[in-house]
Amino acid sequence: MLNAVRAELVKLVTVPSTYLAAGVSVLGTTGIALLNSRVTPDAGFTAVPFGAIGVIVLGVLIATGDTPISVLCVPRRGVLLGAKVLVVAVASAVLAGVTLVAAVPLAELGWRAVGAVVYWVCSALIAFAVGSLSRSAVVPLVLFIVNSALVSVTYLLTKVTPLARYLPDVAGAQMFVRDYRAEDMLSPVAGGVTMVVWTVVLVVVAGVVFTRRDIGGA
Amino acid sequence: MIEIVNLTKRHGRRTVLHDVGFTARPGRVTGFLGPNGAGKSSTLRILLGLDSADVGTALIDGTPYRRLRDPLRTVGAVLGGSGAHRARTGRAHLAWVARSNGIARSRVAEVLEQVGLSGAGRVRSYSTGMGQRLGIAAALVGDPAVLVLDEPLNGLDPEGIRWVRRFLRARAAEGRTVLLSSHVMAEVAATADDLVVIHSGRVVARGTVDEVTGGHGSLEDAYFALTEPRER
Repeated sequence: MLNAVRAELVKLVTVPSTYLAAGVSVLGTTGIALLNSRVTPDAGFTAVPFGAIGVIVLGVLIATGDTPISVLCVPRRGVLLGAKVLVVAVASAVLAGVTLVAAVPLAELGWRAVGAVVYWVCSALIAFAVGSLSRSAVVPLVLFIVNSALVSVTYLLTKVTPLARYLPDVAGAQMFVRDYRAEDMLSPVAGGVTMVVWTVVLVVVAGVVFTRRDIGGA
Repeated sequence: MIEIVNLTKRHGRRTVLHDVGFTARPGRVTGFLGPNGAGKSSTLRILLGLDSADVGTALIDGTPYRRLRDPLRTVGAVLGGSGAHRARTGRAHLAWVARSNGIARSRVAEVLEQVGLSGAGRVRSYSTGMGQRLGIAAALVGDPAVLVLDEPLNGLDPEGIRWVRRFLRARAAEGRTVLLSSHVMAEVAATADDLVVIHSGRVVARGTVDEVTGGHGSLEDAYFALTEPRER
């Protein structure tokens, strides 16, 4: 397991897309927070869902890159998937920590910051699970980037049905956003638990499917 | 030693492998020959633990691939090119491959030297032949006793083909087991000691090159006699 984790870390630090994703996370979030700081009092935390794009990209790429040869190197699929999940979680937590220190005033770093880290880690793992299940990077990337950056479909759904408050990103955002502009949202703790449950279920489903399926190939 | 026993594989209603069985022995190059779509890659993917068989087993030195601890120390495999991320360098690719099986970092430079890629940069800039050689380097990094190569000569120029051919002969001469698939019989005839011919998911001939060719004018005649549609 340790060798598999270390191999995933070597992979992570030897592709340029990692640094691009990290840049989007840290600089993108901080930049948006700075731009909005005059109009929004809580600009740092407001930018957190957007900044999650960086770790979402990371999660999808780690799920979909190098699959056949990774399985040749680590044929025990549970070990391989576990190593990848660990690397996605650690990398997204580190990036979230760095970003928050840069984008949020020190005095504001409290339990909401912890919530924001959990939000990023869960976003990255959900992206990883969906990427692994879809076996392609394109579909989940488009889906998640559109939802995070352009039109938040999940947010719009809160206007349509109260059930939308249980969607992972809507529920997870309650951990750190003040004044979420929708009715009857979950409490921060309930929202966090809801997002974590989504994450665990999706990762487990992805793991079971990955363990059983044919990798196929060219 | 590779033992393939009674493999059957279905994709939905279509049976792609019917009771496929053969053995590849140490010290010999075994050619796995058949037209495109005959079941060569399906067999090799099951052998390497990528796909599951519906019936039968595939063993490497008596163990299924998925149960090997640090498999690269036992088997080296090349499945169509290097499979490396295009933005990574060949060296970085081999570094994680070695790391995943706890293989000493010093092996990376050794195998890069061995395949002549020491100075090469990012995989994106590689020719087809360089990609194949990077794949071979990854297969060698654990110094395995068994080599499995799926169409290793595809897309190579004559010089590249000659390099791979000599290379595989030398590995067999060291006592290793070499199994290579191909749909081009001339390549295999010049490289292999033993042949397994597969057609429509069934093994239609196996034996030494002479045994398989016997009764036909040449390996080419034998190949077409064995792989022609039956109704003709």
